[in-house]
Order: sequence, then C-alpha cells, then structure tokens
Amino acid sequence: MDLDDALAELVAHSGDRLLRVAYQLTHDRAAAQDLVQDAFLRVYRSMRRRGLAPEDWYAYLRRAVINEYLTARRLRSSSEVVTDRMPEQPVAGSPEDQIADRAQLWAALGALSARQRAALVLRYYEDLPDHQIAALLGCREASVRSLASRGLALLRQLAVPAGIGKEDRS
Amino acid sequence: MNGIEDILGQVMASHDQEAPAAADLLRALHAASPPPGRGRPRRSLAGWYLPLAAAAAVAAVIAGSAWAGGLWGSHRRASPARLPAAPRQFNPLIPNVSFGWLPAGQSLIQGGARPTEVYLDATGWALSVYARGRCHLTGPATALTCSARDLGGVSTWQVSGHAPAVGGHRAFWAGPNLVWQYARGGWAALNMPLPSFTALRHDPRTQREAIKIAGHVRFGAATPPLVFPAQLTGLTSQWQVSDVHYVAGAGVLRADSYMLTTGASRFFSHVGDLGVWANAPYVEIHPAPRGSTCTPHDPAYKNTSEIINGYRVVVQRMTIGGLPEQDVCAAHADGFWVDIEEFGPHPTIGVASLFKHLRLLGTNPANWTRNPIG
Repeated sequence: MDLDDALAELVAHSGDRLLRVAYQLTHDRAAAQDLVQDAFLRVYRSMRRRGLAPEDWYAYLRRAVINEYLTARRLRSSSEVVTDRMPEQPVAGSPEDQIADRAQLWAALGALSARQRAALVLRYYEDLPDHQIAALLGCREASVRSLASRGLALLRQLAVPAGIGKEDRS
Repeated sequence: MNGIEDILGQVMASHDQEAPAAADLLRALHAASPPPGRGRPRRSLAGWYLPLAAAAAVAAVIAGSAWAGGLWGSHRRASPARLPAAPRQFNPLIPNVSFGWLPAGQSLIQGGARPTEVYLDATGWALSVYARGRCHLTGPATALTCSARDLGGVSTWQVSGHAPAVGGHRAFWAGPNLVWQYARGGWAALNMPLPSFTALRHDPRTQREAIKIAGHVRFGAATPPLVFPAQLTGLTSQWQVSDVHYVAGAGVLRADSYMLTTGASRFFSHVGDLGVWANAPYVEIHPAPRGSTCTPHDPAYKNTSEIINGYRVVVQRMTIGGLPEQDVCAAHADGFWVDIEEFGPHPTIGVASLFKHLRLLGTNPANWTRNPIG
C-alpha cells in the first residue's frame, strides 16, 4: 500500500466521524473541514515514520482535531450565535416547541467558550469519560468537570426560557 | 421535559448530516492550492514536501495586486527601532491590556494574564498579546509564530495579506485574524468572528471593526480591578501567582483560576496535549452552581472526605500521564466551588495543607482582594 492509498483508507475509515466531531466544535462546515484536513496532513507525516494501520489512528486524529481547535481558538463560525440571550423563547409543550427548544440549545452551544464546548462535545457526543477528556484537553480532570458544569449552566441560562432542563434549576 | 444533560447528545447527533463528507475531504487533500483570490486557502499535500513552493505561493498571494489594493491598506510600516519596547514579561496580577473600543453590543467576557501572554475575549472577538521576544515573523512575512513557554503551546498564523497599519505599526491579515506589531519585539493577534480569510475578504465592515479594535487596544490603562475572592495567608515568600484567568462582571474582573509557582515548579510537556506544571498548585474558585459536586466517586481513585477549615472537602490522589496528582475540592464553601490540584511526586506543599491557608472572602466583590497571597 503506498501512502496515497493509506491516506485514502485513513480518510475512509475515520473521515466522516472526525468531520462530525469537528462540525460539533465549529458549527461551520468549512471550518470543520479545515480542522480535519490539517489533522490528516499531520498524521500523514507520522504515517511515513511509524507506518501504523489506520485502525490505530482515530484517537490520534481526534486529539489532533481537538488540539488544533483549542490551540488556534480561531475557528468560530459566522453563523454561530454569540449572545447571552436567545432571540425567541417559545412556550414549551408542543412537538413544535420541542423542536424549537432543541434548535435553541444547538444555537446556545455556539455561545460557549471553545474549551467548554469541547468538553461538552467530548462528554455528550463522543461519550468519553472525564479522565480521557482531561487528557485530550490537556488539563486536569477537575477542570473538565468545571468546564462542563459552567457550560451546562450557561446552556441552562440560554435554553431554559424555552423549556429545556427546567427541572435542573429547581 | 428532559434535562439538558439527557438531550444534549441527541441534539448534537441530530446535526450530523450537516457535517461535510469524507469524500469532499479526500478531494481537498489531493487538490492543488487554489490560485490567489479564488477559493479557500488550503494546504495541499504537496505543500508538506515542497515547502519552498508553498512559501512562494504565499508570497505570491501577499504580493498579488488583487490583494494589495486599497481595500488592504497602505502597507505603511513604522520602523521597529522607533517603537517603544514591548514588556519582557507581564504581571499576572493586573490585566495589562484592555479593549478601548468594541462594536456596539459587544463587551469583555473574560481574560487572562501569564508572564508571556495576556488575552481578552469579547463576544466573537479574541485578543492575544505576547511579551517581547515571544513571536517571530518568518522570512518574507509568511507566518507569525508565537510561543508561550508557560503554556507549552505554539501558535502560528499563516499570513494571508497586508492589512492597514495599526497605529502606524505593520499589520497583516492571517486567516480570520489581524496580527500586528504593537511595540518593538511584541506582537498581538485579534481573532474575528469569521470562519476564514475568504469570509473576511468579503466583509469590509468586519475589517474596519478589526482595525478599529486593534487601534484602540490600551496597554497599562486603568481597567476594572482584577480581584480574587480568596486569599492564601501564611505562605512563605517563595510562592508567586502565575497564569491568572478572570471573568468580567459586576464592575470587577473576578479571578477564577490561577497557578502558584516556586523555583521548584517544572513543566511536563508530555502530560495531556499541552502539558502541565508540577509542584505548581492550580487553584480554581468560582461561584458554586446549584447542585454542584466535586467529582463522581470513581473507585479507581483514592478518595477521602475530610473537614478542613470547617468546609467539607474531597481529597483525591491519582496518576495522570504517569505523573502523580492530588486534588482537594470543596463543592460548597461559603457560596464557592473551590478546587486545588497539584502534579508531581514530591510536591512542595500538599493540596490539603494549602487549603488550610485559604481564606474565603465571601461573595461580595467589595471584600475581595487584589493580592491573592496575603
């Protein structure tokens, strides 16, 4: 297998999953693609040196994506809603309102800091335990808990008026 | 109605179909760089192995007349020799830098200071200011690389084109960022609420706002005070505060995390992605969210519950990245969530001992202090 084939296999194996993670972080298609592209290019160089099979590389690539996202702090989406208030606050209850709730929650994620969002994506989208998140974020486990706690608190502030998570505030 | 924790994963997954596809990624990886002025600037595989060609392409972008016209400024460049020198180090106990102007509706959210870098985040805008000697412009202005030893990270901004001078100092667009030399030997970077340089090219309003924000950044000016809601008393003079992060609100800048260092503090770059400091307790203190806890009691770790200074705390010992780590946490201490964590096999002071030196100052900002070590 030459390098191009190896790269193609790596992309086929991990590309979609990584792009989804990157999209969760950036909320922007182009930015997500740039993020993952850079990660692949770095790993491509490592493949030349280490020659590991693609199956071994998802965790490494994810780390590269997270690291690039956090280090750069630069991939904020133009569509991201950076605000402390949501524009509309529908009354909870109907299925339509629940859809609105979820759209608001998605938009509210855009108001979080990069590290808060990364912590929540890794915990609730990638289902990683806090100690693995800590290793990925380059911080302590307590910091992960703090990031997640503060991120969730902010989401509650932004999304609760629409009904989500009301019981959490009681 | 479910709680946010219960549905967050579902909400995230419901947007999976919006993510780009791997097929597009593979095409992009194999594509050659687009000609200047067309498409998103991307690195191609060839760029890794033909660095000279890549550098030439970037230089061509900078030199291209389509980019260097009136929109992109006059390229005025002040002589670095005439500039005042940037500080060699920043004092972490003061903000050092502030926004003198932000677009309507924008305000400072948080910031931080460490010896090598200070940063400010407003809604959508993020400013990093580096101390003297931390940044280097490579070759014919192709990239600006800044390092912060105490953070263990290096940031590189690939230059996209010349920007109008900021206060007479040279400046460049670098992706969705404006980087400029704010003083001799010192550079600053302003991240904009845009995803790319392509988006910036078509957004003259954001360009103007970026130049105006950069031109109004104030150094050493009076700001709301940086205050600490707790004070460590009775410590020896070897301790000093570093790497302070603060949150803006209620007329003050409230420090919510910082690090304590001594001459014995050492950086371990292999732990985590960015590395950690050993023999350097990390202190976090912020208002306790309702229902906050210290940690799920993981049986893999050794936990003990104790009372220190009248507060119930959890002391935990574990190993992260091969490095012993100890943590003391109080979920509810006079309205605060407090955590002190320290790495290293032979800590200068244990976290439980350090907690005994901690004096909480209450939730009224009027009672907080500018000196976290009393």
